[in-house]
Amino acid sequence: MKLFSLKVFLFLLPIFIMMFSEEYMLRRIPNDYTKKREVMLDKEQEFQVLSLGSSHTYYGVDPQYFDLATFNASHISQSVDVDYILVHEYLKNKKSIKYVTLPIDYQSLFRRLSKGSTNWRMKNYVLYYDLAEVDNFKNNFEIMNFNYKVSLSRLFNYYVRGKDEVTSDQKGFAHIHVSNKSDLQLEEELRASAIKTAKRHTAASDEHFEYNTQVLRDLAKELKKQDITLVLYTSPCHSSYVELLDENQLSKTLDFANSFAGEYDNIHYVNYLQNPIFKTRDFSDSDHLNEEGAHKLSVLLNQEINKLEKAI
Amino acid sequence: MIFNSLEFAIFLPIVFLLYWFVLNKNLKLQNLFIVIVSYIFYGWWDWRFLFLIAFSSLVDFFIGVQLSKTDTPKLRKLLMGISLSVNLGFLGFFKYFNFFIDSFASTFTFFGIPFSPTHLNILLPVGISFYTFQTLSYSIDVYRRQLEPTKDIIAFLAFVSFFPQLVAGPIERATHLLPQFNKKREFNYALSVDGLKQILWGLAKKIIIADNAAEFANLIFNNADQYPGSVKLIGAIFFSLQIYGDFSGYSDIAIGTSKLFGFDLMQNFAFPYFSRDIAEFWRRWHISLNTWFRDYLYIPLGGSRGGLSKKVRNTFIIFLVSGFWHGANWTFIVWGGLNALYFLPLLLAKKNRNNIGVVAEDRVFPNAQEVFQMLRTYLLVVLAWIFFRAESVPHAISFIDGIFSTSFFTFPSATYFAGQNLSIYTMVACIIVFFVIEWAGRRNIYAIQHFNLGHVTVKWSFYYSLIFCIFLFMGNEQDFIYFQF
Repeated sequence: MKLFSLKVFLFLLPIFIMMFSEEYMLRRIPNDYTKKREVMLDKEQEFQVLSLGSSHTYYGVDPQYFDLATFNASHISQSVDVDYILVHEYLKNKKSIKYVTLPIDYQSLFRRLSKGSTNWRMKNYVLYYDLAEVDNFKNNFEIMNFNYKVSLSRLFNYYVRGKDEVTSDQKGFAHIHVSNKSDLQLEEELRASAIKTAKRHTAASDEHFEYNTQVLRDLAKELKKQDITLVLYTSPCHSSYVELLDENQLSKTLDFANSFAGEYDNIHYVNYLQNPIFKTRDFSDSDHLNEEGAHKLSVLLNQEINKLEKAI
Repeated sequence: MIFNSLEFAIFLPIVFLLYWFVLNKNLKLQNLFIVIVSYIFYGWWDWRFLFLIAFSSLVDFFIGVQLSKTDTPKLRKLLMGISLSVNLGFLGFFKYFNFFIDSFASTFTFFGIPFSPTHLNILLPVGISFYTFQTLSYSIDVYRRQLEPTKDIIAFLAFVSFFPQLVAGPIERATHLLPQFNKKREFNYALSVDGLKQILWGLAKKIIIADNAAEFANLIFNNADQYPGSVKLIGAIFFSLQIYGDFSGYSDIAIGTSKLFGFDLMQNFAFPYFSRDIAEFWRRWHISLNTWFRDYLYIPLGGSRGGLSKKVRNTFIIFLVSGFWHGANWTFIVWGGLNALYFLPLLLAKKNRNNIGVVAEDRVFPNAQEVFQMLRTYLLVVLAWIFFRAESVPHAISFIDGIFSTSFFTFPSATYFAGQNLSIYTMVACIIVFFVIEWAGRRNIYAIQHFNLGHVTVKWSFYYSLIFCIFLFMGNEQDFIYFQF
């Protein structure tokens, strides 16, 4: 029995060594999370506007178009509960912040990153933001969140081809270039993506609604204590996407956003969902802006912040 | 807790070390430990259903004890009736309640009588069909005086809840497994190595073949109207690989894990896709369930004794009941009925025991006739699997209708299968390698059992390669299909 246990141990040892090496090497690949965390921790880098949210912010809010120093701290699929934890953990390093912008979109109140199909992204917050996540052991490891093929390809891309995983610029914004396809072709593509996206964003139930609205209330209170204004906005989306949204989910979201803004004096809400200044060529898909669309949205948000600045 | 999970990878070594290093001196403690870890294993899904297993086990234990104390036929029948009512009552309630309600409603509606039944939101306890049949076999065997009832309640609880085979079998007979809990267990090096190899092969079947085949099968079955007949047939073939890799993989892991603890479980699959006729297929597929039905249903019904009509009736009964055992859906019943129809010509021609041994047993390759027979049997099985996989009977019929249409002659280009974890070419390569290994090992309990790999370096290289392939070709984790039964 001892011999058996020893042999099994010896057999498994190279596998464990390989797994540990892989884990170590994967964690060393520079990525958006490590980069943004550095900025959030750096007390020298002072910002007045912090932009939170999911991919709608990541690809949609370009800090260079803001008059006040702005940093985009969003990540793909980042849900409001994660936004809240980031604020709670990191805002103490950023005493200069006066405004936090946060999208309140069709799916925002109906999903949580840790409970959804992209919950593997939670490991990024555990590993690179040091945010404790106790309910899923897997989130403490890179190798447990990807299949081996993906891990190998990530290692190959970085260690052989020299490509890291940072996709945003110095201010946290990720550029999507304007497509050179024809308007007609683009319109068709947006319509096709709208069907899948609207279906994916429509929640089967409102099980997370109460939780998320409570998180937003906690966020508002925390920001209020630090005299920070929360600028809530509903991101612009292509009409093909908006047409397919569930009326109940959408109205519940918009109704909450409007009434929530009335509850606290440090909240300002604006709805850009169907703002006519956004044209087909401003979108990279049915619910994401490209850099041209991001320019427009950033200018609009900047105008709102300037209005609030003047009102003070 | 599922076998291909991180939890199980931590659970198994801890249980193994405690079992052999700490508790090896005391059989009773070892059995008690098995009960505790088995309940933890099962409770990982839903601890509330532990009461169900415990209750079902206790009822059968006490009925066994009472049966040993009485010779009065009436009382014995009453005790057996209680065991059947409790076990089948639980099974019926948890698994079939809504099915019967729906079927009643459909019948009433058919006759123009409006009937709106109330559905209960019933959660199906994982593995209920498996452990119910296992514990029932004990009561029946004691009732028939084929087994001495045990007085050791811990051994009995361990027999019912033994974690490797608790949720998806093999469905063990009390006559085979229960005595093993009463016998001092010595660590057996060769048996444990064999167990590890079987676990490895089971994992390969589940993770490489079943999980990846499931993605292709789901794609095609869920969007059937978008595919030509040729692709539909490939979808059905993928499902046949999914269900085989999934279920036989589970059985291999279960049997291999049991070997690590010094237990011998029955073989559950014997390379069924190399069968030359349907009768042989059913002797090689889910052996523990089919022999259960043979011993506790087919033979009591008269078996093959009596006239031809009785034989046919009994055959249909066990196939239909077997279908119904799988799930509360007409698709399973049709699947069972279709297999009975396949079986019928062999039964009528008295050819159902023509192919008993291993195909091409003393040769490397099969002859042309055997290839034809195996292909014919496999295609018949694949056709029946469509009912098993489909959402409903009309869905299955329209799927089959699509296969037998002119679009069957459309070339199934790779674009139909795009967007999956593995490319269709890699998947096909994996399947070919898998079948070559299965064919080479068809004389064994599992394919790689007696591979003569010579030197230890070659052996370890082979196992490392297999592990590397499991990691490399790992599909998106899918639940074991048979957990739902």
